[in-house]
Order: sequence, then structure tokens, then C-alpha cells
Amino acid sequence: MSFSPRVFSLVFGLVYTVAHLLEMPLWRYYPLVGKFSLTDLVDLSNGPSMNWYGWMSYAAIAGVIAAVVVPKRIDNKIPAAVFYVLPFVILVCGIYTERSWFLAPPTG
Amino acid sequence: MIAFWDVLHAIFAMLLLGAVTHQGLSVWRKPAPARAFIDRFRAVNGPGYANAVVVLYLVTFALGCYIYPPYVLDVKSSLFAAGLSGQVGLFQIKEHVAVVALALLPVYWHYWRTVPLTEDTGIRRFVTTVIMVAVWWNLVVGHILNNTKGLV
Repeated sequence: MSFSPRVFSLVFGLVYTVAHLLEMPLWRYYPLVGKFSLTDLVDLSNGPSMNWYGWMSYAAIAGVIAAVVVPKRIDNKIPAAVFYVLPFVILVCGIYTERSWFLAPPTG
Repeated sequence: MIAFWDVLHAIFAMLLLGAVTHQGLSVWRKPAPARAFIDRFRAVNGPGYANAVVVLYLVTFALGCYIYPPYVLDVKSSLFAAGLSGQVGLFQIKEHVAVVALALLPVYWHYWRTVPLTEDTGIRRFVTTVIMVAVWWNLVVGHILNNTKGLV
């Protein structure tokens, strides 16, 4: 059993992007009450939820599984060009989903 | 106590910044005698930095994850209430930039430590530069947010 760093990077980046775009964290953290939850606790008294850890958890699990399972011959076929594109995919999707912070009128 | 972790996060970020900048500039250097300061700065043994950059990045990232919840509760809500949603947005993008570098870290390590330096120089140069720019971006944005009260 071997671990492919290239496969991990690729799958981690793509799964993070998809989980983030679909607002689909594996789990959420509610810092105000110190609660972890696998579902969205809609009760406002729990305060804001943090999804970022949950997106990364999905990405890390998928990345590790893929890096162990994908055979070396397929790993060798992944062109290096993929890694030129990957950072831009993550970043562009991230900026797109955060655009509302820059478009929202000041509230103060 | 959160101030301690915040400062520790900043110290590791500075160590990381130094290491990744040396290496990031070295990959763009053509072999030649290093006479000027900038050439001496980047005339380093690039592969020797790879493990240090990975470890420093992971430690800095972990510390950032630890101090993130107090930021969400205290700083983010205050910034939003003050109408500084642009600053909040900058930090939100910092999240994704940090993940870009985190995602590239294994492939960065692969191209520095397991591939001969004469091969795949283009992709090695690219991932190192992206990680260097990500670290610089996150440090500058972190400082802007840290100093927002004094800046506005």
C-alpha cells in the first residue's frame, strides 16, 4: 500500500471546492456554545456556525482514501498541467462564494 | 490566553515566510555567481527548505485553526457591525488561500523531495511560487485585520 501525494493534492482540492460550493460540510462547529454537529442547528441561540473545518474534513478523508486506493499507473498518467489549474479553481470558486461581502452595503 | 496563541501563530508565520521566500525566489534564479544582495538572498539550497516549509506551514495552519473560533465570535461580528464587510470578505478569502497552499503541499513536497531536480522544473517552480504568494497574502491580510481598529 502506497500513498500518492499527487492524488491527495488533486482530490483534496477538488472535494474542498465542491463541498464549499454546495455548502456541504461534514460537520459544523458552533463556537458560541462550543458544540459540534453533523447537522445544521437552526436554533439562533447557538450562534454562528463554522463550516470551514467540515469542508476540509470531507476533502481530507476523500484525499487520503484516493491517495491510497488509486494505483501508481493511474497516478503516473495525471498530467502536471492539472496542478497549474487546481489553485485557480479553488481560488476562483472561493472568491465567487465570498463576493457578497464586497457587494453588501455598509451596515454601521 | 488567546493573545499568546495569536502571537505564536504570527511567529510561526514569519518563520514560514522567511523559508518559503528564500526557496520561492531561488527557483527563479539562473545559476550565476551571487554578488548582489538579492542574488545572495536567493542563492540557497532549495530542496533543503522543503521539509521545513511543510512542517512550518502545518504548524502555522493548525494554530490558525485553533484561534479561528474566537475571531468569528469577537472580531468578525465587530467588523460586520461596524460596516466593514470588505475586511470580513478579505479574511474569508484568506480561508480559501490557506486551503490552496494546504492542497498543494503534498504535491510540492513530491516535486522537491522525490523527483530529480533536473526534471519537472516548471511545475516545481509554479507550486513553490503559489505557496509563497499564498503565505504572503495571508500574512498581509492577517495584519490588516489585526490593525483594522487603528486603520479606520
